[in-house]
Amino acid sequence: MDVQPSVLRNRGGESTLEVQRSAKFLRIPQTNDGITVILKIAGDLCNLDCHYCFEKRKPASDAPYIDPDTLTAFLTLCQGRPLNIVLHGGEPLLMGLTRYRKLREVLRNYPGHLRLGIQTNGTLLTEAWLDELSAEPRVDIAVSLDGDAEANSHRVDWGNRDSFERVEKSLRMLERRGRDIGVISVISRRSLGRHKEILDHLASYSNIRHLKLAPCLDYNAPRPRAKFASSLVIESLNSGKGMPAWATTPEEFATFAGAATEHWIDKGYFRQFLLDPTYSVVANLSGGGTGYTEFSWIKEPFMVTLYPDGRIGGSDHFSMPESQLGHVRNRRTLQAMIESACKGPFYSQLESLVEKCVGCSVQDTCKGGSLADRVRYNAAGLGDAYCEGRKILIDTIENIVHVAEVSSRKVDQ
Amino acid sequence: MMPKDQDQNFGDFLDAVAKVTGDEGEMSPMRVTAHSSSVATEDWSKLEKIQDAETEAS
Repeated sequence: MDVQPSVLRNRGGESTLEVQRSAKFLRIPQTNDGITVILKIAGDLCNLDCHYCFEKRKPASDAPYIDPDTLTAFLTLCQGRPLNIVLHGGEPLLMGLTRYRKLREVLRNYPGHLRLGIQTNGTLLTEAWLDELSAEPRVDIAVSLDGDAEANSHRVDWGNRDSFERVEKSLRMLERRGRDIGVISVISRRSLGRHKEILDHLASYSNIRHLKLAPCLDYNAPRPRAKFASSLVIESLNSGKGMPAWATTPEEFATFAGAATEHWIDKGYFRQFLLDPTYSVVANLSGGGTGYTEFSWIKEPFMVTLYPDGRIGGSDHFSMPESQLGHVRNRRTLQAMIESACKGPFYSQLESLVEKCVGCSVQDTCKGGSLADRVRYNAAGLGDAYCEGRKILIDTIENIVHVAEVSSRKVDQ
Repeated sequence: MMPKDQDQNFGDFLDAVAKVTGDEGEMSPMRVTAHSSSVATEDWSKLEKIQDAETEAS
């Protein structure tokens, strides 16, 4: 019986010109290129104290919220270029409606194209907030939830109380209102082996359109600053050296993502929501592209972060001040800051990481991975382990998808 | 909210993904949103395009 050719036309492909060009230099945005801006509108303030949170390991900002003047100054530096803005924190809803409305007015007056999204822990979402996020300019909503209650148990408040039920209520409210959402699930050690429970639970919400499984690859994570019930638990899970008890290895994540992919296909969840990293692997293998920076050559320095005190950094996953680009007071354009930073040691380090991708067997699909994770793993002497995990991840997903495709087409005939 | 198409098989889904991502060509920086545990407003609306492509194909 003949089987149609696979759409995964880049399977086992050789290096392409695109990869070689990209691997030589991290692409620098041009003046009119869009930039993703992570607005830390509530700084690192959060009503939760998730055990694995990286935001709390950064130097604290003196200013708790981004104020309208700081945002205005920042947007002036952007010179009307397209912006993909993500309202972020900490927990961005802690800002409160009154403060948010003032920021919204500033955003509304931006002369360039804007796309707006919010990443929230979902515990503070109300009907009033949802009305506000649905007003112009409309805000796409993404919620952080690690799956079922067991998998979500690192997401606690300062009293180390579980946040699961509060998020559930918000998700049901979003579902009732017909609001499509994306979900990020951090895959911690507690998630391992629970791929079915996690996907089954999230599939019970009809409005989840995208599920992103994010590896928790912490290593040598600094210990928390505060001393609350939650941080005492964090201390017990993290000695500050090696892998914290919540973290997974790249290979463990690859195994999890492969199992999740099989379940996503077997249960027909692909009809309901996109699953990453599976979708990004498939998109790259199909010869297209993905917006997920871990599977795209468009990554740093296309992402910047604005902190409440006016500091401008690279992607928020990097530590500060190493990734600092400048300050709104500098009166240099964002483009000038980026171009200047790209000549500095931090971006040289990132570029040297990407150069290692040339000649790699999965470079066309992997596209460099997460540079923040690679910096951390390299610093610990584990750079090869990261890349090996990526190869396993991509090969595993590729094989599962291919087998399912062949099976599906045979059934069709 | 879109109805789920219970008849859609995985091969159709892959065809639609290839069509949608191919039509879009090089990824615009405006579509780049997510890195690790930071942002989930990735292009989930793409699912609608994929389902539209499947509908057209059928």
